[in-house]
Amino acid sequence: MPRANRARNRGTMMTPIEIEDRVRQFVLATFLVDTPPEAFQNSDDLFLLLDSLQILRLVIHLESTFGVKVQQQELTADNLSSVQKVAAFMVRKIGDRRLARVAK
Amino acid sequence: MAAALSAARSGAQVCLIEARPRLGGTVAFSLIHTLGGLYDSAGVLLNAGLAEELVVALLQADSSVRKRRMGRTWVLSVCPDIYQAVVQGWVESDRRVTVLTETRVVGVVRQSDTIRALELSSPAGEFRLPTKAVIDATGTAEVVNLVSSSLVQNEDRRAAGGLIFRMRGTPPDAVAFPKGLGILRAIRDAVVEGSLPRQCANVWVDTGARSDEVYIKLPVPIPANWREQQEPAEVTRDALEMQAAVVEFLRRMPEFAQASVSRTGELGVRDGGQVRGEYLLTADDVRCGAMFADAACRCTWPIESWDPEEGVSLEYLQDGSYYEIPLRSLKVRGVRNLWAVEKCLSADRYAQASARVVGSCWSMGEAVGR
Ligand SMILES: Cc1cc2nc3c(=O)[nH]c(=O)nc-3n(C[C@H](O)[C@H](O)[C@H](O)COP(=O)(O)OP(=O)(O)OC[C@H]3O[C@@H](n4cnc5c(N)ncnc54)[C@H](O)[C@@H]3O)c2cc1C
Repeated sequence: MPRANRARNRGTMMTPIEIEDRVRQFVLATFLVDTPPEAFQNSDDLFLLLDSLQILRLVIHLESTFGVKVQQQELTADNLSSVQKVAAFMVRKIGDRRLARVAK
Repeated sequence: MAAALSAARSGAQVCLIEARPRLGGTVAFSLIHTLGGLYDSAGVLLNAGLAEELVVALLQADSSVRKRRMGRTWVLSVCPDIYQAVVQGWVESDRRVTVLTETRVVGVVRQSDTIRALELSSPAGEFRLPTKAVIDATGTAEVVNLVSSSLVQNEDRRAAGGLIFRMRGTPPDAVAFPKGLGILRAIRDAVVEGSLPRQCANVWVDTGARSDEVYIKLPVPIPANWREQQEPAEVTRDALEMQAAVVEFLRRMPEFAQASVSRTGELGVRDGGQVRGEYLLTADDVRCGAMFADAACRCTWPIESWDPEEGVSLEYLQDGSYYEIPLRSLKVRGVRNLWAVEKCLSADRYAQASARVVGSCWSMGEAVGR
């Protein structure tokens, strides 16, 4: 895979809207296959729609897709309970990773 | 227990035969601490009757008992010791039920299509109990198997069994959702790195009824020949080795540094053999919300498959929907007065994986007892 694409896939070059869309697509295609997309809002409470195994799979997917490591203390409702919150969390994590790289 | 209470209420003279010294079955002795199948997707009681009475009795028994949301389902969180005390007291207080503990059904006396008596073995010796009707609630179709092994579906591939143990001394809500996912992930990472055995990949960790306790569920493969004498001991030994490895690993985590194992349950068998009944409940019935004229009870629990290699997966019913279990799937084929309830109902493995939870089991037992 060309380098630029790889970076894009791991979230570095993605816009916040693209990140939110990626998360939404994953949730819909993996866990909510019977839900019409128009019936699912990015603000819907994932903790009511998904079970803990599914949330764990989501976290593992985020780590591999966006190239971040989610720490134990980051496993909170504020970070994970809706597509919007997950996307905002990923934007912050990707930003932190970039900063860390610059600092090096 | 539900069948006994219900038959007694209908005026029958009931004898409840229990191999263990105390009542409570898998919940009490394998440490089931989240009772499923009692509520629908909105958290409303699904079946009235004994299931509802059970909920009320448990809630009154101890303030730690509470209804809680678990993923997309609702469960009653209860300490297995409290469940044991409540159900034992309940059954013993019904004077129409004679409870014979430490007594095992070891044979059946059959005359053409009717069971005439059960052969029982107890510390006092062996004896015969004449009977008008028999309800097999052994969880593994022991009585039906004595009538004829051809009446029990014996699949080669069984759901993983479970060894559940409890650790106490953890900080409050150490593994509460979603924080607890971090512990599951750490266990899985350790398996990938090779510091925990492969079978530990599907370990499950859950909060208990009390804030300083954690329950750990180890999936244990159940071999096809598990009924044979030596197997249960061997299976349990392997599971105990897995338990030792998991405990050692957990105790290195800050949340578990002060914790210790306070109780280890007996190995639980999820599908020890469903009977061949007058109706076979299928996965399709579950998925499409089948209704029956002879409905025994309603169920809405997801199809909870415990694959020995892949771990647990859940297939949910549509929110607000339910299916029914017909009485015919609790009636053993070809034997006039023999019924089988709860985990050994007549169902394919997927339907059984939904129907086997505690709430449905109580309602099935009640319907047949009536
Ligand atoms: C590992 C595991 C985890 C589970 N987790 C959950 C959960 O989280 N939530 C939930 O709702 N449900 C759970 N279940 C299902 C739940 O345990 C059952 O729904 C419930 O125990 C009812 O089962 P039962 O009545 O069919 O059998 P049991 O509860 O096993 O009762 C059968 C009784 O028959 C006795 N017996 C057996 N053979 C003989 C004989 N020959 N003579 C006399 N007595 C005999 C046994 O000693 C036992 O007391 C789980 C089951 C397992 C195995």
